[in-house]
Amino acid sequence: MNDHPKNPGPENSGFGGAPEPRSGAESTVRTVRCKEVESLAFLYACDELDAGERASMDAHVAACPACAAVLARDVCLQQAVASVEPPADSLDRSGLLLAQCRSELAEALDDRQAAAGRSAWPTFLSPYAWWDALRHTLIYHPALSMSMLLVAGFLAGVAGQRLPVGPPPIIGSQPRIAAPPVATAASQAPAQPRVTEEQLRNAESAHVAWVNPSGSSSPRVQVELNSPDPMDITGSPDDADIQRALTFLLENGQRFDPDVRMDSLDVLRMNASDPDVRRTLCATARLDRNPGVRRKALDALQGFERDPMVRDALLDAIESDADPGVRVEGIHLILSSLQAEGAGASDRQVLEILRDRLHSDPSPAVRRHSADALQQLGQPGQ
Amino acid sequence: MAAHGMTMTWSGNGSGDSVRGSASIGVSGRSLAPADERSLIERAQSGDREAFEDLVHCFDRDVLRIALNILHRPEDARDVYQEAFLKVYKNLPRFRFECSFYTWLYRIVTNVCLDHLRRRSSRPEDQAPDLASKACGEPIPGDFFDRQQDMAASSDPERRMQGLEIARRISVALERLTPRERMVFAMKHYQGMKLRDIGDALGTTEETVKNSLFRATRKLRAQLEGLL
Repeated sequence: MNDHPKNPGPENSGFGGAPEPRSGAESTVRTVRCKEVESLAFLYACDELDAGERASMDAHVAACPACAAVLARDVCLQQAVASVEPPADSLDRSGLLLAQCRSELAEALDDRQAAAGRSAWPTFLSPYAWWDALRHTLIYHPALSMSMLLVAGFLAGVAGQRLPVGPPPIIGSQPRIAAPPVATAASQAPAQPRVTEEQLRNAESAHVAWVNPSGSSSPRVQVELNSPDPMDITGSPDDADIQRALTFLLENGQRFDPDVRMDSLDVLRMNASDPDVRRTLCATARLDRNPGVRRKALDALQGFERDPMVRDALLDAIESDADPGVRVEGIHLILSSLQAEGAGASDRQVLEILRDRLHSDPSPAVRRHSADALQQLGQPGQ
Repeated sequence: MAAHGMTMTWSGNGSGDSVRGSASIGVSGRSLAPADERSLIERAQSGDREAFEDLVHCFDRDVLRIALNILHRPEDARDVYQEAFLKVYKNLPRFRFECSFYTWLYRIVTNVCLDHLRRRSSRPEDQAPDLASKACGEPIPGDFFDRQQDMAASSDPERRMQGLEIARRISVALERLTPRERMVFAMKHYQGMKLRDIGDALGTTEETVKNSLFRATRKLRAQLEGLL
């Protein structure tokens, strides 16, 4: 132990009882008693005693071997703690965690802003306010809830008797829903969405397939949602319900197989000119846990690199994606976009990122592609 | 383990509602000139999303570092990061420049961390110490460079083994501390803060902090018995 105290001197600091606030003027020598050493030693070890108190401890332990041992033990403990690397140093060396945090925060802020937009409605017009009021009424008035339930049951029974009973509708060129009664009602009212939020939420697995190939004159796609109430919908890639279902599959990627997400990307990319679709593709490129899906999402954004949202997603992928293949894909896309615009050499942000990758990326492939890209942009990395 | 000079004076509830005082803290991610920082904050206060994100990027490395040092788990640190900055976003219009932004932010972050530790301590199944298992020789998570740096930490195998054992026992001991003791320990030993500043950050007295640190040290000492 290197810091073993040596100098004697009389002093005391009142830890554990009623310690006095310390100041420079109070750094006078007091007597330290043996019973106080236990509580002062750890403060000494972690450098929380002022000069006077420190001198007092030094003086005391120099004359008291038992207390010297107590102090030595605490100093030794302090050194052991100091020798351990702080967790933050080892838990995010690559900076990937920081990138994930930033991405998640950006999404959360988007949600907040969207919610704020909704709440901008006058309160009495807001459907949310009405729903809240109804909910509270039902919660706090159980008798009323029961009566309403009975009335609703009665009305549903009467309405059910009046509904036409017959074979399911013939599915031809019209988009269809396989779920029998609800689908029938829905197909008679084309303004209603053919897939409800609940059906999407309940989907346990899914299958996406082309009915007519994407290269044909009238491409059509079929989305099957498997759940206790299975259903499928068929339509063109720009059909609103198809897009909604595919967006759901991508946004809830943890519940569906990567190949389903890949197929969803295949369809959605045909409508990448739609900003909402691009938003979904950008989110997938950032957040999907499968690198292949992220790579494909980036690829689907090709041609829209001038959109700031897309550009950010590309640059984020190059800078912080965990998978070297995704980073390389990002480099290719940004390079081809800059070459098409003829603006490569003037885009300092991209050049900086490429240089950074060239010098610090752990993957040799990424470093090589960064060097190639810089070369092609007429800016060989230093 | 670098110690950072830091003085703070403030009061408030940690949610950004009322914080007064002045601070100069030697811990900061990217340095901004005071005028630039003020202008950025004012723009963010007026609803400029881009300015808010710039502000976040100036300080978020430190925030993540604090959260990692206190919670030791990347997933929890992510939660803290998001929760803290969403609180900042919500309360920023009420920030009146009566203390430095970093001081205000630090208090919010430490409060969120404390809440996390309290929630964690009420879930026994959620208390497996990640760092301890890492130190035990299990596969080290992270990328290639993480692993390389860990492997190269010490070329003396005996010393390395002892270092790992100390790290493991410290990690185990930290899991057994109360949330407040653990906070104080991390702020003192990993963030390098003085006890008085810790008291300010946690809205308590230096004496209370001292007692917490004393208890934490005693438990740690018991855990490291025979190793030192």
